[in-house]
Amino acid sequence: MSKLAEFIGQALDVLWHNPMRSLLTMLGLIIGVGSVIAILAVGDSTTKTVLNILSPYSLASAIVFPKQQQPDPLLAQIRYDDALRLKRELTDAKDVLPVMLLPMETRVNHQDKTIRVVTAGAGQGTDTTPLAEGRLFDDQDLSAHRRVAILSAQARHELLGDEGSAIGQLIRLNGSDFEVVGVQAPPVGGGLLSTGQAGLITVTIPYTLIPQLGYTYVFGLTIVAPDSSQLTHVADEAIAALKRIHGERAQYEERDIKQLNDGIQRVFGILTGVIGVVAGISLIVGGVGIMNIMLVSVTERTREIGIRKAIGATRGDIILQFFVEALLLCLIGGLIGMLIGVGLAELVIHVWVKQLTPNLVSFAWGPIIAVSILFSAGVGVLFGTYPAVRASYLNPIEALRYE
Amino acid sequence: MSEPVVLMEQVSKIYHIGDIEVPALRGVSFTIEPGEYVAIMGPSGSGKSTLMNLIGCLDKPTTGVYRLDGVDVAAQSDQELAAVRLKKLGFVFQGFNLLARTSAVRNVALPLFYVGDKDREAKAMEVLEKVGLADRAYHRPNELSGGQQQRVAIARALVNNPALVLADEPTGNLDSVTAGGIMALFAQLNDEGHTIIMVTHDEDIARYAKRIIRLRDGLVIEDEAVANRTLATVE
Repeated sequence: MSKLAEFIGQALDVLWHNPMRSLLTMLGLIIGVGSVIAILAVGDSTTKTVLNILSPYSLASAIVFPKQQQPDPLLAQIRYDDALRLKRELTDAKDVLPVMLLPMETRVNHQDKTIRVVTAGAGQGTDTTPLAEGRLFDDQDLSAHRRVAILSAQARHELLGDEGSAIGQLIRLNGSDFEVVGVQAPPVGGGLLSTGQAGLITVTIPYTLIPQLGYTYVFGLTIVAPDSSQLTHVADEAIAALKRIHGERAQYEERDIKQLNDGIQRVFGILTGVIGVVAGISLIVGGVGIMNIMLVSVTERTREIGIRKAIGATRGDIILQFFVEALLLCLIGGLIGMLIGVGLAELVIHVWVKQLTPNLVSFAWGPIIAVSILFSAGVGVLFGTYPAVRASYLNPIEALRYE
Repeated sequence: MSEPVVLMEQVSKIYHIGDIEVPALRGVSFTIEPGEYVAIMGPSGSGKSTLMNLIGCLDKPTTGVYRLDGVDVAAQSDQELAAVRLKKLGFVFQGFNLLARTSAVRNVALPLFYVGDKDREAKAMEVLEKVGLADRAYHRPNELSGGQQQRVAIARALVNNPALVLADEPTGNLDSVTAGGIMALFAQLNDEGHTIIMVTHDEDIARYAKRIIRLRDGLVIEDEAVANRTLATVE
């Protein structure tokens, strides 16, 4: 394809020969591609950043609990033992754990403080925040009813200070001592939606302590599915099983992070799409601009076209020449537009999205590059064809006479 | 006997301007054999430009037969005519018609580019040498004198080794000294075996050719060998 390479070289020559005009020709396309890319990049980055805030929660687990509005609230209450029964009955579930949310009292520097205590099982649970030190609960902690605790980063700071290791230290909750076995890393979300929210300090204890602490009823059940795709199915089964136990009148609801995740992705996707389409209109404007200048260029170069045709260039040769020129113009414009769009996106992300959380997730480059090339090439094909075909139809006798 | 380069039989060309038919050629017949050097003469309106466009395969006759180097031009599609121009013809224009932003050697190589010849710059260089412009190969047309530009154009016409070199008023834009040089080059090329047709209205220039075909009102009125031919000498 040395002929094509030569056409590309000639086209670059033409574009380079008149850089200001080339740039002005591309301007519409640069703005079009730039705005589409900026919107895509901001949308992508924002979606990922928001999802990342939610990331300490496992996508494969749900919590099932009684609805607030009940015909008979006492009937619907979930018992600690329900978890064991559901675990036997739900063969598709990986695990079923009772969950308790308890306010507990402690004293720090001679002051009473309320702590949010949650229960968890052995190993990685719903909250997947990594540990800064220590370990997760193990089966022995559970079976031996050990009074052990995992502190959130916030809890560690408030209860034990930041000095030395927290592991092995004792904290006093409602009058009994708990040994700290693990400390969580600070949440990625910088506080938003995470366990350390709103000044509440969270301490996690093994769920097997719930009966010992004197509770028969629990807040709800954590249902763990083998993977996120089976979560809805397993949670539905859990609700059906609870209704079998407590009666059809008992009402339960299910919450999981997957729904939220899907919802966020859908909403951001629609938003990005709608704004992207509006921005895409400027691509058409840019394309019309390029077609306009290409038509002017064809007229200006009538004599050149005449010479080429007289010498023996076929219509295909002429079409290819002007088509390559339009396409290159668009691809270069698209590249510049992409760089500007990405720069704009970085600015928006660092000025506005950063207000949401300092833990930003960047956009993916793959789709950005693909969309830039696809859109600018598309505009080139769409608006470069007509001037090229028109050039090819020029009559060489008249074209040679053109002054 | 070998095929004539140009064979015209009762060729006519009628233009339509609105509803009016304007006959530019009204039955022209002649043949030109390989190695000939022919001047086509005639006042404006005689059909000389039309005849040149026909010979140059830029246009097709309305009636009659035109064979260029054995190819029936009227039967060719536009696409095929482009190929005929590319392979069998070399054009030399009055206004030189070089690509302005392109160096001399690449102007010469242009037909080879459309042929797809990879070796084109070397071949173009050879022909430039032949017309005496090897040292100006990388200059652009605006850096060359009129005579030099016409030599580049002639080199471009020769680079494909065409059956016919067709020159339209090749000295029209040149002073008489420079014109003499170009005529000397044509004479040399003809001596080397190139078939040349030169369209001109200048009697002095036409006398450099070996044969003159005179047109008037779309008809050949005279076709004869030049008795006392001007012998071109390099200045």
